[in-house]
Amino acid sequence: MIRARGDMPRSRAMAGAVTLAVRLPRLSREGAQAVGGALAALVLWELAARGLAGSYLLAGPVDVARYLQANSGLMGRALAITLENAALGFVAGNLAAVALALVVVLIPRSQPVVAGFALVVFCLPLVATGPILRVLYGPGPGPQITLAALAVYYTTFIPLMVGLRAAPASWFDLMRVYGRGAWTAFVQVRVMAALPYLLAGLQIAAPAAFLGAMVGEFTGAERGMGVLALRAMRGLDVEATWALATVAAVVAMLAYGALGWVARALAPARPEVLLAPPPATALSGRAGRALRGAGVAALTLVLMLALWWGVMEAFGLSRFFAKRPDDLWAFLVSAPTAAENRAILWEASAQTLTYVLPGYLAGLGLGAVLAMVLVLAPGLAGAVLPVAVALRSVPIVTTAPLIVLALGRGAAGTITIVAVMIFFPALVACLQGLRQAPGQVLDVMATYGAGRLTRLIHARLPAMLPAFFAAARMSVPAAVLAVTVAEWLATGTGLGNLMALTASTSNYNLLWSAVVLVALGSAAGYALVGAVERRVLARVAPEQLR
Amino acid sequence: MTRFQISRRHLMGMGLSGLGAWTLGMGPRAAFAQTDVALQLSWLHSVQFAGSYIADERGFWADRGLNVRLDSGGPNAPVEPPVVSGTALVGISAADYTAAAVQQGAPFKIIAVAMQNNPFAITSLPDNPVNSPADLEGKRIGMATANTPVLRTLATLNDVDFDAITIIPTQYDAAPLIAGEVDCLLTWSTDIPVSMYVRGIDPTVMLMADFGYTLHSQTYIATEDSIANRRADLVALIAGEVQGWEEYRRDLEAATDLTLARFPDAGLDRDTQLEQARRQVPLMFSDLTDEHGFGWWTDETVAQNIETLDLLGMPVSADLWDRSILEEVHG
Amino acid sequence: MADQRAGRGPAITCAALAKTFGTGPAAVEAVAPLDLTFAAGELTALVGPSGCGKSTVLRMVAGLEAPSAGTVTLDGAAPADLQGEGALAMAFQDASLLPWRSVRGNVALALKLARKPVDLAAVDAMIARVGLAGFENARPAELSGGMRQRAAIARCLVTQPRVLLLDEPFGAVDELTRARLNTDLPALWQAQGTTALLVTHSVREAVALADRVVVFSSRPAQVVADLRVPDLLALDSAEGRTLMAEVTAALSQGWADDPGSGRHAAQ
Repeated sequence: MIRARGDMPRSRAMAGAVTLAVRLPRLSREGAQAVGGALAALVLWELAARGLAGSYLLAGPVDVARYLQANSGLMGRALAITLENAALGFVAGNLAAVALALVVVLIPRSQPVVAGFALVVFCLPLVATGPILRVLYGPGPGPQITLAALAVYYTTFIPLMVGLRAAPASWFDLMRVYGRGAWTAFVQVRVMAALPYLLAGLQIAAPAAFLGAMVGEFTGAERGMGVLALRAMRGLDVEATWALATVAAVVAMLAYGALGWVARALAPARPEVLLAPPPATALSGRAGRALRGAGVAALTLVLMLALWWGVMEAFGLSRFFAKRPDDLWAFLVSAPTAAENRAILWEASAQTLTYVLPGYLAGLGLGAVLAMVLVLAPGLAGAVLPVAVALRSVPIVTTAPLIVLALGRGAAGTITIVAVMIFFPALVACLQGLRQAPGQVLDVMATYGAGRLTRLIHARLPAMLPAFFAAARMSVPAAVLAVTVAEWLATGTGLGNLMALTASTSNYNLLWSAVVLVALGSAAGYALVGAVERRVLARVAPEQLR
Repeated sequence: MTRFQISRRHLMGMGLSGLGAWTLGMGPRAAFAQTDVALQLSWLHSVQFAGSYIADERGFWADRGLNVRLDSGGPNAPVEPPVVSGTALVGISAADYTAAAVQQGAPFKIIAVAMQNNPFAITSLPDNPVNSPADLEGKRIGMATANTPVLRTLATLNDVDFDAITIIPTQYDAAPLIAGEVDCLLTWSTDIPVSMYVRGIDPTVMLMADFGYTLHSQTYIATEDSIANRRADLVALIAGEVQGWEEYRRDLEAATDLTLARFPDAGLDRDTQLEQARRQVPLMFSDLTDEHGFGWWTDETVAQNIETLDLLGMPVSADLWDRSILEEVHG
Repeated sequence: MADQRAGRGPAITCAALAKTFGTGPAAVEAVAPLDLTFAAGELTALVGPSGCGKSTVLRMVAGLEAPSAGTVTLDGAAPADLQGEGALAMAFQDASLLPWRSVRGNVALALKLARKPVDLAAVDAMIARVGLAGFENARPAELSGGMRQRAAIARCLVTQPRVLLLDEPFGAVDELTRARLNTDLPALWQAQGTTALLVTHSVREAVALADRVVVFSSRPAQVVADLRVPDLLALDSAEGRTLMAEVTAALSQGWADDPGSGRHAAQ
């Protein structure tokens, strides 16, 4: 048994590796559990709907099915248009991600600037980008496609950037021994080694593209799922609202599952998993690193400012709504009301922070804990995972009011909304990490008669940390997105509300100040988690940092 | 969608030469010497803009040499930026929104007023009704916190103790009222109350305009530059609107059916749309419009608007309104 | 300059060869100036404590690592000249098979990288010679550790290299499999007259396979013993046991104060 594990089963450990994929049920037992879990979820859903009958908050699966049957044509046409935009955005966003990753791999020195730039753009709140895109594109699907692309490119770029480097040094030595250069290594090793990472990124991207296209329709589209959702929510049409949410969730799950299947079919054998980003600098010494880091940050900032200015000037966007950096300088620093303006922003930021921090931590913690529970009680996984995927796929726009009703309009509701957005990616990532504990280590524990809990603590948890931190990093922008959307649509507080208010006050200085705050805050949060990650991984998983 | 329907209508008249011109990118404008302009709506397509659809479908604009594209609005589609940037010639705003934008440096004028009476209303359930502002004292009202100045203004106008009202921040949604989370909601009289009515819950609706809250809504705005240099287009556009809305008033059912036929994919429900069409009539038409025509205002109503805007913290002068276009339309 | 007779390996000369990793106070001297010649067509085993720098010597011979001082020449040519000809082959500690290629694909890749015509019949024949007939289409993940190493050896040999560099290729393989590999494989390259270097920390393996055993001290690598292995030596003969004892003695002599640290020096 022990011998066999040490020798053969790396294939098994590897098969579950990299991808943040939920395995489709393979065995009939797992299949039965999945079906059981789905049925249980449906029954719970129906019961909850009946319990809330008359409150116009939740429609059960029976009503949803009835609605879908009666309005199949309407739904079908809306789905087709949103899917088309999502698909175009998905392709465009992922092509951009591939291009960025290639730049980083071919010109390694560009990595910190490109990555920082990509992060800041990803963190731009759509409340601000939507109207600008609408003005730039005019009527048509442009903003929907662009917002879908913006929703996906980063989650593909990061794993791809890691994947293109995620090969053992000896593979590159092999190429060199035959006198072949970087290009051969790129074609023979990097591209193939990056494939599973690319597919993992695409898998996360698929539902995000759909939601991006839906929210993009809020910028003044005439047709699509987002338009119908708005109409249904305003019109007290709970059946339609939940039918739309259901269709969106099913589409997201199907896309997720289909790409997972493609991933397994295309890249059944996976290389060792690296989830930490490459180090920002090669300079040795802490002072040198700090210096270089500051230089990179400054360069990124200058480039961002130049692009910001350049784009607005190039398109001749009116200063009324397209504020330049100097407008913000006046608004926040040199104008007589600057102190007042700063105070408004400060108060809103503090409000947002009190929601986003606990939500973020709770979501991560919950994901990690549930992952551990599932490892201790593996029978549950088949039932719980599909439900978790489904919950994650329901658009936040429809779930937010329900959560707010259940938990009130205070902090608890918003914090929960953030936690729900973070929880699922954390769960899946942690589960993958926990499964990666090396077979030999587990066998050593087994020989000492260690129980599941001991094995979890001593073997699986350290193996989980790289994946956990990868999820923690990627969750920073997601948490900020969630909190601003929740504030915008549900609670009417904080930065999200401040940005949404612009529609009635035309205070675009305030909007752009908030945009800058949100983008810089997200980037700083990301960098902070990255720093913690490097510290922890240097102790428990140094191989991730090579 | 809009563009396609416009083109289809023209194509039927133009035949293949028109098709050629269209596909060559010259558009019907070249064939008919028509000017392409856009009207930026303030929300999703619905009977709220039915007058515009009538103007388009019946050729009220085409007859005046105008080809109007109707750009949908939405929750993340503010009206002012496309008008400032010239994407749209005219936008549908509201007096308070326009005043705020002008305060921020936008060169806007109000050139016509679709809603003489402000649609803001306090919606409550009949067993715990709010029939007058005084009833608000001691009640919990659900609304966006951004609208606090609106409620404060209503309280001031009616000598109601503002501090005796509890504001609960809610999404724009009837559910908190039905669930008993709040006693009343700050809504438009033409959307949430209609949804409730259609679903068999007939709410009590207290129109704020009936209690001194005088503020033009669904106002047509254009830039000073357009008013100076694109007068003919503006006159043609507003003239078409006026004609369209007068047709609308004549036959609400036809207007509703046209809206439904024009936007089959918008998920519109006929009962809801017809009821909304009915309820917006008293907001848009009055003795004033009967006398002077749709879209009109007087110095007196402007003075009342300025007073309300002042209470809202947005001091403006009568310059915000420019009636010259309307005068040409009705003259 | 290099010997042009097909399959006939060159003599390898290390002249004052040294390697230091890093600079300043963090510098690690992996290989002290080293003068050694490996005869053409011979298999030399390099043994020494873990991390002593023997792998670094091998990597400098392969042209994967530039010497800090001194030179490596193969019949007068630089390693880089032989790389382009596909005349060098190297086996790594882990098999380093590309996981997305089958056994056949991995072996054929060497021909492709060496810019030689990909003759699948020859590829399959080589796979059969290392005892993997029937596993041509298997992916590395489906093979045991020993099988993977044999596939890696097949990949090395399929290009008929004139220099074969083996960096602890059997280090991760259990004793039983290793013994079988040791009896099966040498015939494959001895017939070709290849010059081969084998880095190992197994005294038994060194004596069993090599014509000559060079024993290194702990880091920085210096030669503490250089022993010839008589032809057709039986390991369990008195002579064989004596030789192994000699190598072991040299090893413990070279085991200086701090053998443990600096694993990376060997990477």
